[in-house]
Amino acid sequence: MQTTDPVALNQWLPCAYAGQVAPGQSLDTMLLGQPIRVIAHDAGDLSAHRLEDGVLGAALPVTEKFELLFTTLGDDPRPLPLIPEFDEDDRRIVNCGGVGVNASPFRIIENFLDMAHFCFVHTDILGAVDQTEVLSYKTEHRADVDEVWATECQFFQPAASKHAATEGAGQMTDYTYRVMSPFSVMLYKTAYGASGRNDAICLFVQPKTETSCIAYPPMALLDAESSNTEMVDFQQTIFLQDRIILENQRPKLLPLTPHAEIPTRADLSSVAFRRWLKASGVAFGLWRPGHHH
Amino acid sequence: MSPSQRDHWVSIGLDEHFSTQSAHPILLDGAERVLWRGEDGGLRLWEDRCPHRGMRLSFGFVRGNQLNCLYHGWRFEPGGACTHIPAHPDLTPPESICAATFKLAHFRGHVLAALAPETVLAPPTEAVSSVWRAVRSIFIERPVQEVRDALRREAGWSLTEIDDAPDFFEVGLDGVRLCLALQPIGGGRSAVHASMDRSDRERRLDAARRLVALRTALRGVKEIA
Repeated sequence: MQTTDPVALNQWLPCAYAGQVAPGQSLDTMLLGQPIRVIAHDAGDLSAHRLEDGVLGAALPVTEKFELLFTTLGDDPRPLPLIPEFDEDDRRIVNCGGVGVNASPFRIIENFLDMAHFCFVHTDILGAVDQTEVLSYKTEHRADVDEVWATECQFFQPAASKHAATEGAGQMTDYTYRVMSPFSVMLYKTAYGASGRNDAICLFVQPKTETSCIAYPPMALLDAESSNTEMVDFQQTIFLQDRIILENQRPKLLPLTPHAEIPTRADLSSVAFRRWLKASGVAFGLWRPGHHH
Repeated sequence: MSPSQRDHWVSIGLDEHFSTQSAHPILLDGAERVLWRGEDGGLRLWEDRCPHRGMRLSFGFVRGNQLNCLYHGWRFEPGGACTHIPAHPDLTPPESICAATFKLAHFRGHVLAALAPETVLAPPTEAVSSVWRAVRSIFIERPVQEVRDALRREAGWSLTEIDDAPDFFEVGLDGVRLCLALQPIGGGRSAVHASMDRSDRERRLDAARRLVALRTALRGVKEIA
């Protein structure tokens, strides 16, 4: 059953990735509890519709951006974020498809924001076992765009990383995180050999239900060396490592009650994100009393 | 006033099955727990949830006498207190950061937990201690009530209930004693854990076979509408 939560409903949410549905084909999926169907017409255009008991219903608004097809179940959705990197001529736009995960969308967003797990979950890729400290960083709510940003983040990336362009000793990598909506987040990461510019790695979450989602991680990169396959493999490896965690966090729905979970200073971005979620009035995906798990 | 059905100690497994420096998920009538053993041999039963971001501690790893959470590597000592947070290596974690701990007991080779954590009931105890050996644990897609009835019917054993230990049964087999215990898992599932009061390979194998046959017989039972 479709959620009644107006905050969740009034969002543009992904329902397929570019090229996922071939012309003449359709895809049945779910958004916020509502079954929907994505249709790829012979001419190549895409549409999305509600499904009511398996019967094709009203057409939904759609828009294609960031290698994804977005739709909305609301009447006044929050606009999609501006990400100019996707329009820059010298960038590689990498479509990494989508990965299913049985977790609350907010657990997924928080995991993306978190650096303290790099050494344990992404050992020798994003972090090293002997360099676990998370240095202080800053968070802010940018009221003009209503987004949460975490800046001046740094973490030690080991030399063994598949995604490090440099050989020899590992190095500190700069990160900037940006939460663009309750269901989307991105990071800007030092691009090697292109000083002053960053790789843009995004995560758009399609919440099918409160505890099952599809995560789409499109990227706009400056890397001219690695092949698309290497990029996608890297992204998927990271994601599959995270999925083991995401599907085993309890409660499944994100608890906002004070003292339910204990943050440390390394969790500043998660604290800012939870505060912002609370202020938004969203209810979908959040723990509430009487809810099993 | 007699205690409610749900206020007694149950077996959650056989002591010998939990090796040193290992962590195991336990589902106790729907509640998620972690049972872990340190290098000192001590067993601990905690809520299966790290107080940081809720990651199940049963996915964690044991080093020495500390349980480490898989997500951020937080370390917990046998009493439940967090001793180290890798993201802040120089910080002494405040005492308030701890895992939720539960009482454990041992009886005839079984590890016991209380269904009601705040119970005032004492666990069953043995007056004369013998060394009980693990036979088998068997997991059945049937609720405890059905397994209890089937035990009497299918295994062909003569069961004696053990005083003050609901769902613990003794079976006498030519001078050898078997101790069977039923565990409610939740979601219509249960387990039967079996131990024996001596090492007797033949009888152990026979007992294990009968438990497997019990499970097979229960699989054939139609759902009661």
